[in-house]
Amino acid sequence: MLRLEDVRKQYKDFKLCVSMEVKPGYITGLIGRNGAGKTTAFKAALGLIYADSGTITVLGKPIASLCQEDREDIGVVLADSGFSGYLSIQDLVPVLKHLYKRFDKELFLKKCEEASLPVDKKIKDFSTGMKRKLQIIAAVSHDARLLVLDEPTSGMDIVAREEFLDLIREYMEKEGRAVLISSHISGDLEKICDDIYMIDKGEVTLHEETDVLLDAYGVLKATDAQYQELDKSYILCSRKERYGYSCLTKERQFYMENYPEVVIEKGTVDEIIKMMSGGEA
Amino acid sequence: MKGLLIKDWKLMTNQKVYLLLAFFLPFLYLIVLNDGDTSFMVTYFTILASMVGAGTITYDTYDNGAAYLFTLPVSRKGYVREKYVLVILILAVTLTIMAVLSGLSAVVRNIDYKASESLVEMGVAVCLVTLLNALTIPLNLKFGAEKSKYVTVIGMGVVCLLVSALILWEGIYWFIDKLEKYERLMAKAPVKGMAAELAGCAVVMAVSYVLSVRIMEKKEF
Repeated sequence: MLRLEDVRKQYKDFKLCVSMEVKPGYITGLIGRNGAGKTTAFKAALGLIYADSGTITVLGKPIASLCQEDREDIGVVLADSGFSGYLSIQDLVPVLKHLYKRFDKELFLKKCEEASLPVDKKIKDFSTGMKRKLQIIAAVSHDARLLVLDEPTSGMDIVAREEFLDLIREYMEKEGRAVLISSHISGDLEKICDDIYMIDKGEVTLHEETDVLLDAYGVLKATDAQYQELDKSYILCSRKERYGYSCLTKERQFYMENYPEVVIEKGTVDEIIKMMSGGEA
Repeated sequence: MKGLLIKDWKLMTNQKVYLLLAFFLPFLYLIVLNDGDTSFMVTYFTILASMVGAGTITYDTYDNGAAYLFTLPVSRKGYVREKYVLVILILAVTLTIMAVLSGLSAVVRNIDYKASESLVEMGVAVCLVTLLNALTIPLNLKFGAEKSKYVTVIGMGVVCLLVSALILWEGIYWFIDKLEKYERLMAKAPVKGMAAELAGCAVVMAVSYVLSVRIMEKKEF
């Protein structure tokens, strides 16, 4: 559905260099710290910025040759952009209806009502969470095959985030669809993503199935003495702590069996981000 | 393109005070106060109304909105094309309204209405609006709303300086003479004159359009 192969983009003080893929039927997450390059990767994937080199394929076509009809198959949420603030939802309805052949007006208005979005209020007067909700609803209202969602839950409270996750699950019930999503709330991604890419300083540092990430990954909390004794073959990175060392492993079971005295915690996306972007390999 | 035109129509109609000023004041002037000289009003309000069209670019770019706009089924070229269609549509509608109001005004105020003079006024308005939009659209696209204001002011300053220098060099009567020649020409052959003006405007707009497409195709969001 979406493939970035060795895509490079050089800025004055930042360099993006990523390869990643979103397969049909998959919800793929992109995680990383602020400024890691998530939004730049999204913008490259959407053709909003031009890559210096590499190949970007969207829905089987090179990004440069996507036509208007192809664009109708993509639904987007952007972290730093949205509909013109000087329009209201009721202004948007005829616009979307003429932009998308398969725009479902009834579904769009129903979802807006369920999300308590006022139809006659200017979008610039919406809160960040309301603006995100509107973009999400618009993205799923025209039968898109691919959703590209950059920080869609930003500014949303816990209830709204749960509703969003349900909406994405509902969207994925139809075959042949896929979602690329980034979020700084890792819990959201753990719940819905099939696989996760981690990006740091513009480069992909990890790609794993979410189940593997949560089941096989772990963080060892070892004292200095325990750390010296550890078999480090399966340690991905480690970091000096006040009590000794914390180490990220993909073989949690191995260490649980062989080092029962070491405290081992289950891997979470947050822990992995913290370790991978701050630890020593 | 229809979707974009609807969006811009909604953006424009949301500027109610501006539109009221753009259409109610000329109506008031032409019907109530008109003393026979409609040239200023026709030119002024045609320009005022036409600027709303190019101004929609500002609304599109507000709060980085252009990035999202180009994730919708909107090509960069299609976006530029729509802006030019929009300003031409506004120009046509405004001129029609002005022509009707001028005629109506002449009847209501019992003023001698000269179609050739009205045609000259409208020709001047078309040329000015074309020139203004041909400059404003690519500038807005290239520099964004804020920066383009400064660039426009600097550009206007340069044009004023050049005109002033020309007046100093040739003398003010040289200009008046040219204007009179133009008016005589339009009175003599209004259809040919109008056609020549429109052709000139079309060339200017075409050059501006090509420039705008190039600007947009290079732009990153």
